[in-house]
Amino acid sequence: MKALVIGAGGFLGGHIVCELLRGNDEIYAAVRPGREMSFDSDRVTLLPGDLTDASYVRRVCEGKDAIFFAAGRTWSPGLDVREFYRLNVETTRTFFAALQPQSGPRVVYTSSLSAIAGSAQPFVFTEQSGRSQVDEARLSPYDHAKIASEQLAMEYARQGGNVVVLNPGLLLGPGATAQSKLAAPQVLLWACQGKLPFFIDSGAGYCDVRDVAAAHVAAATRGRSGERYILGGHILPRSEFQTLLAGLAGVRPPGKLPGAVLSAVTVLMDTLSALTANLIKSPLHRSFAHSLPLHYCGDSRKAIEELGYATRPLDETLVDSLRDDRRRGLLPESFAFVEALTPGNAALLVGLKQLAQGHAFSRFLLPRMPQIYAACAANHSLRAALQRVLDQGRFEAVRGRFRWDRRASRQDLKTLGQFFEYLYFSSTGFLREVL
Amino acid sequence: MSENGHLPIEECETCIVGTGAAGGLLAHQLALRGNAVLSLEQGEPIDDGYFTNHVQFAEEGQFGITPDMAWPMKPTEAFLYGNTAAHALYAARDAKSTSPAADEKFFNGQIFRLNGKLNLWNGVALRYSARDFRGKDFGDSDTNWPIGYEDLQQHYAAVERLIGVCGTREGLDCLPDGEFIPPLPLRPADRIVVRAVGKVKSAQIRAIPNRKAIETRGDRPNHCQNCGECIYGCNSGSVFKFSSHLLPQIAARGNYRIRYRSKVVRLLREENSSRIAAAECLDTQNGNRFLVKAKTFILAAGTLESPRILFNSHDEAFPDGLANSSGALGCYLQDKVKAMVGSTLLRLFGSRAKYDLGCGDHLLIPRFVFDNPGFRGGFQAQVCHFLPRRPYYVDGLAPFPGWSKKWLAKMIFRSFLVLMFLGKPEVRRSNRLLPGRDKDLYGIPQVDVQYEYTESDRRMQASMIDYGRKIMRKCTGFVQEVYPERLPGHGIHYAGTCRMAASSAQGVVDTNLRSFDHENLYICDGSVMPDIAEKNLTLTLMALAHRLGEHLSRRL
Repeated sequence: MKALVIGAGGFLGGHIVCELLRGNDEIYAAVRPGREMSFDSDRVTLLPGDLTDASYVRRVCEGKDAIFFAAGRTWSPGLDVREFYRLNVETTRTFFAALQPQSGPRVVYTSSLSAIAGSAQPFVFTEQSGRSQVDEARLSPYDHAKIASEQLAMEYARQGGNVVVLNPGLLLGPGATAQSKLAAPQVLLWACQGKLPFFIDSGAGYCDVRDVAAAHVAAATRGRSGERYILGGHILPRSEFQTLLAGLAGVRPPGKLPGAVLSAVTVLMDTLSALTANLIKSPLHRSFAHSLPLHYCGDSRKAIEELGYATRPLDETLVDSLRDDRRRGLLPESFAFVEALTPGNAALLVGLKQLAQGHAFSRFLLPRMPQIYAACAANHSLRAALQRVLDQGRFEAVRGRFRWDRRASRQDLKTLGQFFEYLYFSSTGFLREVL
Repeated sequence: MSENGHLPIEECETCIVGTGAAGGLLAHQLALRGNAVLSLEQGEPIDDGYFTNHVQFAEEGQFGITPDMAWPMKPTEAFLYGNTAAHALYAARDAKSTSPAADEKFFNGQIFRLNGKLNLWNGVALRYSARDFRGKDFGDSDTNWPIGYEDLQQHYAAVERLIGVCGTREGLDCLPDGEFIPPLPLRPADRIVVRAVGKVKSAQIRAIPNRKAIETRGDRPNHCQNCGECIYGCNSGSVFKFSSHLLPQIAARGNYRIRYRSKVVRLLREENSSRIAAAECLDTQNGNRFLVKAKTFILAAGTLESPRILFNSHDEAFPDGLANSSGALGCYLQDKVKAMVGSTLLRLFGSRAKYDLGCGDHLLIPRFVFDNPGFRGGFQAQVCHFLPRRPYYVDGLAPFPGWSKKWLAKMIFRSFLVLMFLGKPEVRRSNRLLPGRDKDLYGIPQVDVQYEYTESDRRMQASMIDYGRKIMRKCTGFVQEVYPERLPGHGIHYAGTCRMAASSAQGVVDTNLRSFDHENLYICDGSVMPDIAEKNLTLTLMALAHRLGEHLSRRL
């Protein structure tokens, strides 16, 4: 099978290519010129070009058996909202215009849960749900773009085109490059870097990008044409997501902000931005801010049944995302510990990291946390001491850290302190200084 | 004997079980005299290249922290974890001679490798004094040795010439002089101790250059590299070892063979005779058994392993174990009383002199002589000034705020000193090895241990700490850390379990180290020493081996 991935330089597109590489397909990748690829294989033919160029799109689509359309523009500060909408819808229009509906290949079109969901009160959407949950004016330009684009795909299906539409929720996972600037991985990164000033509590579906990519590849052969499938991931409120992250990475969750306050602030920012002729760029457009308090949740039952969509545990996704961010140098030295992080050892590792952070030699210890943790976990008495300290203390999710019971754990805290000092004083660096 | 008729058989004149301090020396001596010798070593071979420069702790995997290392780490245990390579030499729990239950009563650090415990020998080589052989006469003990200093004197000298012991002639009553090569140079900390010890009035003590079996002559290729304490293993071949010093001289001889991975399970008696016919051995590599037949057997497997073999060799005529008609086998287990006092010397605070690690302990304070009604026997101290595996100074830093620790550690780094006291234990029959129910990984029964410190031992330990503190204060070491060793066995100078005695009712071997019960069975390791003194016992052990070697050579 000849498979084309449009938007292969992006977060999801890259993972679709990786997923395809596990099979035997002939793989083509349509990418923006000059983009760095997340995959590296001579089995993939790169076809760089501009998706607004109809002749280029026609050329790349020719003779393919399956086409994955996973391209999209993300909004960045300074981009006009109408332009953002137009770019997204136009690329989709150009794409479908390039295909012959009657004789075209199987198209797997990546839409979004945004094209279906969006409710002021918690509500779990299905593929059949109507748009009665919230006033359309509250939806974001992204939602509107996705709704309009999806209608183009459905129109193509009505003309007899072979297309399956997939509606994934928020995508997380390794491989979110700076170029792809997707919202959810970026927010996760900000949260870890302490740059996320606040969050607005609403429900969302958190998906692992690798699960979603696998569902895409499955949809090339298994989905019914003209149908859409929700890939809803794990449904949970943002506050719970923050709690989960706090437990996994020892990150202090930002404060909760009421949606109305945010809207007011963004209106001010946009006005300021307009008055200064875009010299001051508003980091968040008000039309996006309106949609933040909305719940975007969908039921994946149909995709599970028909596409075999599987969801891995969310903590696994988060851990892999963090490790990937660290690997690419996006997280500071104090996050070196995530290299050893697994869902199973998070409590021990975060606890040990917090102890190291509070120690006089934290600058020596923090970059070496993976090795230090390995030594500590392998030693029977050190591991037991750490476990006792954790058991006697409790984790405070709002602060993203443990509160130790200093009295009950006195001896064990002392032991772990000695362990840290041992590491420092027997380090090559220290010995070189003194010997 | 009959049920083993089908096993493969090896034959030799003399079979020596073990290649440690005594077994190695005997093999060398007998092989040079033309005797057909077979050495049985239950472990693997090893050479000096096994050890690395042990200052680079951080280069070791997991920062040199092994899974069974206890935290908070006790200094005495820290010695065992000198470096990962050294630590890996100690026998694993399921390979030891002693049962798991024994661990709570007695620390057992056995090494099953070519050289045995000599692999991590610190090299301290001291002669026992005439008084040490006559404990009963001098009130130090209940027993006299059946032999005296004069019996061992020439053998001490022969061994010293053979292994090379550095030191100085001091003319002390409590510590006879030997034949020495030049001593190690004294370092600033050592000089402070020498002066300070002279100021302690309540006991007659002097700090003298330590006597160690280390090559100190700079023109020799294997001279000491000054890389710290020898107990972490020596990679330059400076500390005497069987494998590097003696084995090469005999390895190529036609009359000498050494079999590795050959663990002696038991000895087999000839039918209708008390003579030993064969040793039943286990090839630990493939699990096969074989027999070694010899005219003479010498057990030199160690204080814990030799009695274990004898216990496991019991038969209808010797239901309690071979060589045990006296019932003394396994009894009189001894190990040193031990305590340490550490401090940083104010005089050396902030010292910028280059840190000479030397070989760790360049000074020895021989037996403290004073009127002390509280305990019997004496004790001595080794003065250790070296880079410890575990940074002791961390303990003393506890009260200081975190930000100051790095600076303080740097300032006191060259000033740290430990006095390691070793004392003569009170010897009791009830401190003993017993045949046990547990089995090791090869299915061979292990021995249980009964050991308790006596009141005298505890008072001696208190006195050690008392004197340690006094000396430290005179050395300007005011912030002191004290480490009394509560669990017996940490001296690692095990002895007494096959005691040498004048009559067959009192012990296991006679003055020639021959078993009273079996005319062709000799035992030569720490187990034959009836009564250990405060001094490190290895040189005496070697002298005993040399004496036995002479005796056998005359006879064979």
